[in-house]
Amino acid sequence: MTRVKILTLVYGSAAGKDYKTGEIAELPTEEAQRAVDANVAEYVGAAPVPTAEAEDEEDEFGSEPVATPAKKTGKGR
Amino acid sequence: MAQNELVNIGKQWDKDIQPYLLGQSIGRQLIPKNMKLSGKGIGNTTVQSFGYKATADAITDYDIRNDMGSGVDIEGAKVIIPIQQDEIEIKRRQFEAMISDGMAVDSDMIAQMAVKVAQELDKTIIQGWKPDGSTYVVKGFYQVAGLSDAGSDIGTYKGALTTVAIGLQKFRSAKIYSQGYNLVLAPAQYNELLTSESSTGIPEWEKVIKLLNVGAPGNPGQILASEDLAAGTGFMAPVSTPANSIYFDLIEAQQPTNDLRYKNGDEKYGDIMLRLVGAATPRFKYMNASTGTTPVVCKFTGL
Repeated sequence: MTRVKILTLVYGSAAGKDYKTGEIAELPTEEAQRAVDANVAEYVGAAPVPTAEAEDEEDEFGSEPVATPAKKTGKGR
Repeated sequence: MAQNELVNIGKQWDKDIQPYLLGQSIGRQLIPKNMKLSGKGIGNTTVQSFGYKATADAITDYDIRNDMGSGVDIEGAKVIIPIQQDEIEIKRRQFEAMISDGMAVDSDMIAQMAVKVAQELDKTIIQGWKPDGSTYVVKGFYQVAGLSDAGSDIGTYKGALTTVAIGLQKFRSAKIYSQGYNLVLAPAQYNELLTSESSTGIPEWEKVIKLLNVGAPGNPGQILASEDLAAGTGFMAPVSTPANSIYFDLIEAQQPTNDLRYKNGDEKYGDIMLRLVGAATPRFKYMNASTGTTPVVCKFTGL
C-alpha cells in the first residue's frame, strides 16, 4: 500500500471509498501510481507496515490470548 | 506571380481547410465556441475566467425574505490564449509546377497542415499546454478535472457501464447537471468498448450511450476516442451545447488562417513559405482556486 495526498476535489478509489482534497489515501501501489500519473494525487510515502507491538496492543482489549495451533509435522497420517 | 496572387490562394485555402479543422477535431466536439469573445484576432492574448467560490443555498419560506442576498464571491483568473501553428516551405519550381498542373489549390499538403493544427488544438483542449514540459499553463479537460475516480476495467463487460454510473453519481453530488454527457476514452479502451458484449451477445456500447443520455432527447452524449489520453484513462463532461457554456467554452481568437509569402521577399525565384496560424483556448468555469480544478469534468484513471 502507498500513501498519497489527494489533489482533486474528490477521488473515488477502486475500493469504492471517496477521498476529498488534502486527504491522505492509502491505495494499492499500482492505483496510487496511476493517481499520481494523472495529477490526481501526490506521493506521501509508503503506508506503514503493522508492527508486532501494534498487534500486541490490539490484544490489550481484554481478549484472551489465543493458543497457536501446534505445527503439523505430517506424521501419523 | 505577384504577392497579391499568393494572398488570394491563401484565402481560397482558408475555405478548403474548414472541413479538416472541424471534422478531425475531437476537442471542438466537446466544447461550445463562445461567439461573442471569439474572432478578436491574435492580439487577444488572454481571456478572463472566474470561479464562484461559494454562494448560499436557496431556501423555502412562506414570505419573500429580504435579508438573505448572498454576495457572489467571484474569483477571477486570466486564461492564456496560445497559438497553434504549422509551417512548411515549398520549392519554387515545385510550386509553379503544381500551379501549372492545376493541383495547387486542393493539394493534400494544405489539408495535412490543417489536420496537424487541429490535432495541436485538440491536445490543448484535452490535456492542456505546458510550455516547460511539466507545468500546465493552460489546462484542458483531463488536467482541469476536479472529480476523479479509479473507474472500472472496460475490458470486462459492464466495466464501462459501472464507470459511467460512477461519473453520473459524482456529477450529481457536485450539483453539475446536463442533458447528456460525453465519455472520452484512450484509444485502447475505446476499442475495448466497441467490441464489448455479454456472454449472450448483448453489446455494451448502446447501453453506455443510453446511460450517458438519461433524460436527454436525441442522444447528444457520445463516446469518443482521443489520442491525447494515456492508456487506461478517460473522462466525462457535460455535452457541448450553448446551455452548457455555463461550464466551459472555447475562445478562438483566430481561426486557423493561411499565410503565403516568398522566402526573403524574392518574388521571382523565392521559395514559397506557407504558414497556418490559429489561436484558441478552452476556458473552464467553477474553478477551485486552491486545487486548480473544476467539478465540471470527471476523470478516470484506471480503466
